[in-house]
Amino acid sequence: MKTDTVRGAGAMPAAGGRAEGPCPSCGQAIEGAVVCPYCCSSTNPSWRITEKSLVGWAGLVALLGIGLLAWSGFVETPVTPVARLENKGAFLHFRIQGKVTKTSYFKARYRDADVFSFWVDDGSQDEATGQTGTVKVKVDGPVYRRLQDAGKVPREGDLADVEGTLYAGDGFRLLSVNTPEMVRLTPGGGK
Amino acid sequence: MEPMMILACLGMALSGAVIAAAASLIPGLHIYNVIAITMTILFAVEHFFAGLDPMLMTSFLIGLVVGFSFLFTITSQYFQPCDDSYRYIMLPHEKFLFEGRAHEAVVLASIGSLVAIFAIGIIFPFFGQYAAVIRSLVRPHLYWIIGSVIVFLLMTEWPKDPGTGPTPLKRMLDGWGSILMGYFCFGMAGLLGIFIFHRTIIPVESSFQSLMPVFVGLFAIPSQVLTLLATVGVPRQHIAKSVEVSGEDVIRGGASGILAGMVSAFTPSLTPGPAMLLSGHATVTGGDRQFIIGGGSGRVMYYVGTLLFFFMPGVFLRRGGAAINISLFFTPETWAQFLTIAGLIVLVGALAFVGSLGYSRLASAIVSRVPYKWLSLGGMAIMVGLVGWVTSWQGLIIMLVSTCIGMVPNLWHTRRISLLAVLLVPMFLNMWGYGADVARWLGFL
Repeated sequence: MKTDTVRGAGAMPAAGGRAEGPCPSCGQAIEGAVVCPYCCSSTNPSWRITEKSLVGWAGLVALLGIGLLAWSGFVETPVTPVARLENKGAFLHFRIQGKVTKTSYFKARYRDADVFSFWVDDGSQDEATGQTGTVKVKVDGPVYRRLQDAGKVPREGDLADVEGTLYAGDGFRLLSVNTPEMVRLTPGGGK
Repeated sequence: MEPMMILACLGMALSGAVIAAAASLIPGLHIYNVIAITMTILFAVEHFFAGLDPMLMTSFLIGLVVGFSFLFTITSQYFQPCDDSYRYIMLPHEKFLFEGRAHEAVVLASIGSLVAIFAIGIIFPFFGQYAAVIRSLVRPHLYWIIGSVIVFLLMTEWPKDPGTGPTPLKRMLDGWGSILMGYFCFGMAGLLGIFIFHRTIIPVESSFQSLMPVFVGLFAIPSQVLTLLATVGVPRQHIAKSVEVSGEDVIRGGASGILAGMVSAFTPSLTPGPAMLLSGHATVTGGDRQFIIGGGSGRVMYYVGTLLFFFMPGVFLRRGGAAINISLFFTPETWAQFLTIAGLIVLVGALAFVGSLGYSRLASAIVSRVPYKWLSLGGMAIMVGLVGWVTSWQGLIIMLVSTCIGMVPNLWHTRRISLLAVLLVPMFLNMWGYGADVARWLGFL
């Protein structure tokens, strides 16, 4: 006689796939029933997954995480010619390389509002837009102080490798540096 | 990014996850409450952190969010049993608690969370750039999408009365009673939301947490109060070494949660609750297991996946309390930062999954030794103290008003989901362009 089934397993004790002892889900004594009469869980091991297996799956996911972390160690932002920095790239992150041609420092009333700026020229030229290879790079007070502490303040003549957020609109382009690690210098013997 | 920096970020993320585990022991405490405390401390000792790379503090908050999204519902699950004398609907995990298999429910939810973490690790780094396209497509239509969600919530309210009144009129009134009280809750929460969005009384220095007293009042305190009133006992729990689950349960439940998380990521004010309701209908999920797995998956996708969009170059989608708080001190920029954050999320998530298995055992041991009413009383005291500390007495007043509204669904057998009108209504009106007009008409401006 056919009995109640859960996924093809009989509710009555069966010869194969039967769990010994209490219900593995709720712990009630079920006398070897394949479907627990208290919580309706299947006791057939083939329908169940153990915690050890789940920990193994989590280990595989952890490997994916380690892979992503390792990948992040090798990712570099591609260098963009300064002349190609356009309005449509506003608020995106760019990396430029070039020679520092000028520096300026604005001392504000409040310390954190100080601004250090320098201009980078990579000699590029865009015929279509007429843009030159020079762009202003802005460093706010707190980041500037960390550059000072690290001895990485750009000077005229240095070769700079800079990453930052582009602010661009009609007639202006500005690269804003948010962390000191985004400024890499090769001293050019400048002043 | 330099290897030492990555390791330092990992250390900070793990620290955050440990703090999240400790804070998750307080039932009802929300992840954003903990972030509020962290930010308050951070601002108080701002100069101490000024010399640190912002990525470190960001990693700490990431660990906090990931750890919390795995763990924070576990204690609520054990410590807040459903008393059916005042609750019409017993959710699957509440049923599991009464069957002595709350641990199995925790494991199922954690499986859903792990599926979401895996999806985040696979989908976001490789296909995440399409998020900017989706955002651009969806943005002009958000007001009517939110409006449709509101209509769906109101339409799906149904009579909770079993129809045992002596006369047809009595039966009709009984049926409409719970529906109308649901609409009443919706209206009151909507009014409160318009007030909070346009004329909140929270002090300006705490304005970054202006929603904290509202959510504590609407959801957390009523749950704790009702737990204090509950008369049911928590049966002895069985720690299952295996769980019954099929591939279909994992795929269907996980997919519905991932869909819900993604929908709520692109739709402001849509939290996992209503998003799960929508995605559950869309993906035709069925059964307790798929419901629980979907809940775990949706929760992680909403809290963690949405947060990862904030770090994605070209997308920078700032959605949710965690992203808003991180944006106060950190501006994400590079793919290296994004991949680091994604890697931290996946790695800490996998560890949190393993941790959740032990955490469930801990919660089971606690509830068998300490009366759950004491735990709820303690949790409530901590939350009220936090609201007072972070948002001052003005926050306590808002919390009190919110609590009164939040009690209504529980006492009139309506759904608590109506309370989310506190976000849906003002956001809908603002995005439609009439938010200020309505606020002015109500005298809030």
